[in-house]
Amino acid sequence: MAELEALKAALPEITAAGARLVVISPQIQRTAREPDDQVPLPLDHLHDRGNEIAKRYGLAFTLPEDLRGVYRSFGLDLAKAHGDDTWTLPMPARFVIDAGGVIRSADVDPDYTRRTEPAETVAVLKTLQKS
Amino acid sequence: MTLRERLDGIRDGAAKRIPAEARQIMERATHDLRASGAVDRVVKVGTRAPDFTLPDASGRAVRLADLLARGPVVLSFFRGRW
Repeated sequence: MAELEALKAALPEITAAGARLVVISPQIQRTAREPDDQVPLPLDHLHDRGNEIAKRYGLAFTLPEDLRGVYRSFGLDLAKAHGDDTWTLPMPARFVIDAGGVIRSADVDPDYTRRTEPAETVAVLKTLQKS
Repeated sequence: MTLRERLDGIRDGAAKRIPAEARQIMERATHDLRASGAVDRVVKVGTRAPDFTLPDASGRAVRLADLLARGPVVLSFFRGRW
């Protein structure tokens, strides 16, 4: 969860730019609040059952059978973790959406170990403030 | 530490920890996904973000349009806490 941690670390800058952080995952939330967060953070953490919204954004993909076997060998049952049996996942993605609802940046990579630095996202938010 | 450095560490750790056969399957799946052109079908910069309503951890319904009424949104899709 390196990316979520990095985004949380950038929250003061995101908030200062007048923006709201929204994170979406297909995984069922176990707790109402992160145990390490003593005060609620200014973000929304949403549950996308069956990756329905990820599909609408063009991000959902179905895991090939051999990869499901690998995940099972790690003790990871996606059907159980997600509360659905679709074996779909979202490609990791980050969007900046302006107040008019228009997408101003889109960072997507099928490889979850290649993600955009939060500083670049903050830079996009700052250009919105100027315009 | 930058996110890139942390992710590089995760990748290196996985290379040591995960058996070669499993790692090959994972890498091939990522490669196939990239080659499939899936990224080209993702919603594009300059277009309107599809609206949605989803529950948060406490079951409260959150609508994107309501958040946008108050300002820009950084929307992050991720796989899960594992």
